Amino acid sequence: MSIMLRVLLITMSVLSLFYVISKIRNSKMQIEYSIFWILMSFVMIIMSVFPEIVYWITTTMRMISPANVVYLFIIAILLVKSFMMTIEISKLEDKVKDLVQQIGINEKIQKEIQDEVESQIQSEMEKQS
Amino acid sequence: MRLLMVIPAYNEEDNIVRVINTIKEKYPEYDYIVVNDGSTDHTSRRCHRNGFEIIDLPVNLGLAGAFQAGLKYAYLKDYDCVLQFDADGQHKPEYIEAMLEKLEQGYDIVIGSRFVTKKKEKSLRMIGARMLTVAIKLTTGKRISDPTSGMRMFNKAMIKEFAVNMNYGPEPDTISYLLKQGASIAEVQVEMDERQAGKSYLNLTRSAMYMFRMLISILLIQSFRKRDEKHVIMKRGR
Repeated sequence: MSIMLRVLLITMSVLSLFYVISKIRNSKMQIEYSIFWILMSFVMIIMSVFPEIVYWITTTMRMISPANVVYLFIIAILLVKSFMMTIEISKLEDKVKDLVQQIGINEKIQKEIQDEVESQIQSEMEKQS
Repeated sequence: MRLLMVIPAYNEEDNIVRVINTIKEKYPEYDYIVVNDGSTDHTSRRCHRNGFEIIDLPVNLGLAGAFQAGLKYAYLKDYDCVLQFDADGQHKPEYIEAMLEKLEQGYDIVIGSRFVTKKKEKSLRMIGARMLTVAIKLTTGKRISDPTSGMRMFNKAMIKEFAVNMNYGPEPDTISYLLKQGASIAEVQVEMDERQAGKSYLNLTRSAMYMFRMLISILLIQSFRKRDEKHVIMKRGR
């Protein structure tokens, strides 16, 4: 791994770590969701500070360049992550849909009850007069 | 049989009053509910002014979400069957009776089909419909001549299933899935009008995308689905 790549990795991971922490501090993100990014930046820092780990993987897996290992690793994790996010979005959309439908139905039922009460009152009044 | 017509409406201010008035005047024996799917025009206001039965959804959910809201309402009110009906005046209520008769013979779903006895004309749109028919035939072994027809009737068991589950849009892929699961589906010959006013949501690109999605869904996805009922806690109506 070239020095440039290492420096880039270290700065990017440190920056992203700080960014994540600042978002949590300003309560822009739930802690549950931040854990992934914190772990991710830690792993990136470790990989760039101790490239021996990457070298070891490169030789045991008979890969050509250590940079490939880094890319492969990051791409694999991001793929899994984006898949998980699709599942999350589906669930969220489903919940929003349920809420919207419930609001609409509640309003309708409320109106029905109101109409019923009004017509009852009216018939009572007619009886009395 | 208590029938509820579920009429999803998105920006149908030019059609909705005429369509509903026809139903109210000529077919007062059928209940209906308009589901206003977050329209940005005067659909909702015109319905309220005329005293129509309406569910207003605060945001736009798309046809599947709006239709499902109507089915949840039907389930809550304990209706025996539901008819999916268009708000743009394409569907003719005079065919409801024939469809009801068919449903009473014990079918789960009855489709108002344009091509039971009549041939499909050879247009670009019909090529898509034909491909869907072939796809359903391939995966289920059964022939549905008009899978894209938006005029469908559902029995009581189906109302519950459509109301509480995810991925039950009123679309050909759900039909294919249910066929595969052993639901009985019949078709009744109907005629449809051209939409009377306003613009159709479907243009060429959108139609092509829709057909592509449906084909992938029918051929590849639906066979993996497990039929398991999510139990949603919903208060039954009064």
